[in-house]
Amino acid sequence: MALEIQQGIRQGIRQGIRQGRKAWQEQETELVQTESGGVWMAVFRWGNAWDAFQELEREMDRLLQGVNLSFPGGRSSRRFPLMNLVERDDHYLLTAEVPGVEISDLEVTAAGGLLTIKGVRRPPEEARDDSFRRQERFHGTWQRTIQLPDRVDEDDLKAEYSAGILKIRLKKAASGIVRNIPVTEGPEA
Amino acid sequence: MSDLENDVPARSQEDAVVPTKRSGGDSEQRLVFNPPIDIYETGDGLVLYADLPGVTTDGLDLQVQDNRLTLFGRVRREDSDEGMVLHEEYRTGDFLRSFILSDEVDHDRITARLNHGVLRVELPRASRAQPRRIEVSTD
Repeated sequence: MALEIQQGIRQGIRQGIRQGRKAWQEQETELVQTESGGVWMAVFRWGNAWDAFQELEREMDRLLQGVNLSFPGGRSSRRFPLMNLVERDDHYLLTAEVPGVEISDLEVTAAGGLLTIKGVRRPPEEARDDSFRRQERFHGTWQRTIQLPDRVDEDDLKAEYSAGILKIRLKKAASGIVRNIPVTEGPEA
Repeated sequence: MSDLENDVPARSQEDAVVPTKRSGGDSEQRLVFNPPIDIYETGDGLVLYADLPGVTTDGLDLQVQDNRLTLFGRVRREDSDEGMVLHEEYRTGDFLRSFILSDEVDHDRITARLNHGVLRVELPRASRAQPRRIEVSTD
């Protein structure tokens, strides 16, 4: 769904750009015609303008790709896997939905403040590409990296996998835990 | 899509978030999602896969009534939902989707397996009735 919307917007923008380009070209043509006394000239200047429009189109595509058009609460996101992160008193809990992934195909690594989970979700062996009547599930290799919150003890990570949900417990480093510092009354100045 | 049809209007293929009030212990509103599925054909019939992360066998209800196959997966609320949410890409809810089976599917031989949050349902094709020869006799 999100993909369709994105494509729709893209098409609209493309069309707009094309119209703009056409208008610009017409204007340019007129200009050239008057300058040369009504004689058609090879309009070599178009080349640059063309590039500029193409660049604009590319830029729009790039911008659109960065826009998250998935609906809140929906499951249409093409990202795999989906992840949540919650903070507790002494640890963070990262959960990821990776249904159908075998434990042996699951890899969790942490280094330099980045946590990476990767794996592969294999399509059923007996299924051929042309035997699918419906294909909505993601197949293939996937990888996601997130920046760990500050002050996580990278050596103390616990990962657990059940019913297709991966849970990673990230213990806060001692410096990240809030300590109450008692304030005592000092000698009066 | 002649043998197995999705019983849900195409519009709600994805993003079907329907808060429902379920009778019973908890009166809180629960979300219900339309899980993504794969359906493909094999020599024996059809195989259906559905992603049901968080669903275990005791939370899964698979029913065939008349010619409708309904799957409902209940996800247990866990303590992992507690805490301050820093980042949220998915929400916890149950899964519901139903399909219309054609007569070609042998309803009595449907089998299902749930593994790592993925449901696999085998829908074998009904074996064609053997041509039966009818003896014609004379009086």
